[in-house]
Amino acid sequence: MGAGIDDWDLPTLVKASIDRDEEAWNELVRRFAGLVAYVIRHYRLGAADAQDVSQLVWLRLVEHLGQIREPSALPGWLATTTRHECERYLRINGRSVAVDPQTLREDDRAEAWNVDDLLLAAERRQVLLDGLAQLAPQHRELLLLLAADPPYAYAEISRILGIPIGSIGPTRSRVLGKLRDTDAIRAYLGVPESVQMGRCP
Amino acid sequence: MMPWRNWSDDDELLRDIGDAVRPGAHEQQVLDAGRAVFAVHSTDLDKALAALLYDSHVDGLVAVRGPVSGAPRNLVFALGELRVEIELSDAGIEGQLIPPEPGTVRLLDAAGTVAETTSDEVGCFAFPARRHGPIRIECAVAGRRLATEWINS
Repeated sequence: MGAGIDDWDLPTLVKASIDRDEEAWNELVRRFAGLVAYVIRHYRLGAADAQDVSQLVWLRLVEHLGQIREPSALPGWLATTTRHECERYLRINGRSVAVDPQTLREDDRAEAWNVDDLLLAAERRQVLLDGLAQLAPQHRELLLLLAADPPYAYAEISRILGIPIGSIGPTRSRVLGKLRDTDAIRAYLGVPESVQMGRCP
Repeated sequence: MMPWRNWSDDDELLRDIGDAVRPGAHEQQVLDAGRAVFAVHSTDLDKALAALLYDSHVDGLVAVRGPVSGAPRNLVFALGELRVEIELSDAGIEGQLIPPEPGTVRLLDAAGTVAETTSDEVGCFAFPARRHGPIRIECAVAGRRLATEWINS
């Protein structure tokens, strides 16, 4: 199939999925599982409930594939569908969204999340992952150790990566600079390439 | 609006990296669920779909008062003139096709067909045993095939 399926654009993946291409479907699922999981997480469902909701969302997508006119609307459709299913699930299972009797307004943190925010959060996450993938492996490894929770002590990082403790601080800020300078993050932040030119002739 | 972390700040950028690389809760589960449903349910993408018209736990009095534990849940699906009414309770699923038609009725979940039965001359059918998770009803009546929308039982 020529280029890797991870390079296929959304319309191609949707069309191939309608033609029952399982690989294309799996790629769709891979691209959007993070988004679906992200929405579910904000409703704080338990594992069994999350399982039901995610099955339902994908089943609805299978059902809905043939009606997708505008593939670029798919992320929004997935975020909205997941949100609705989470809300319906909470309502039906009695763990109803807390309602303020004065205003009859649903007062739940998840409610404050609109679909645009969810999509933007998922996009920012993807941009960071893409940026990390564009770093040299040893730089990526350093950032992952520094970002770990709980964080690694510098002594531990020094031992794992074989670099002096004293150089970790300066390297940290240099590598974060490199991350900001990756194509992925520059493109997202809309930083024109020329800004970087002076520094790196 | 979300307060987004500022990527110009080293500490905030690093916190976002940590959040981005940690597989979100449920992410693997969502992936697995997505992969599993396709092989089973993509065979018949253009079957006629009966849309959910009414769900007592969402649209009914029960929804206003808050669900009573163990109260049966009534659902109505429609496709044109044809209706599929079902009641979910601890005893299982009881349903009726309207207009009444004898036919074949199948119960499906995410993994495929769970059970198959027939509707009698007044269109009634039953699937004993309570189920949890997504389900749908498929029926073949009077030469037509239709499936209800998926619902979470």
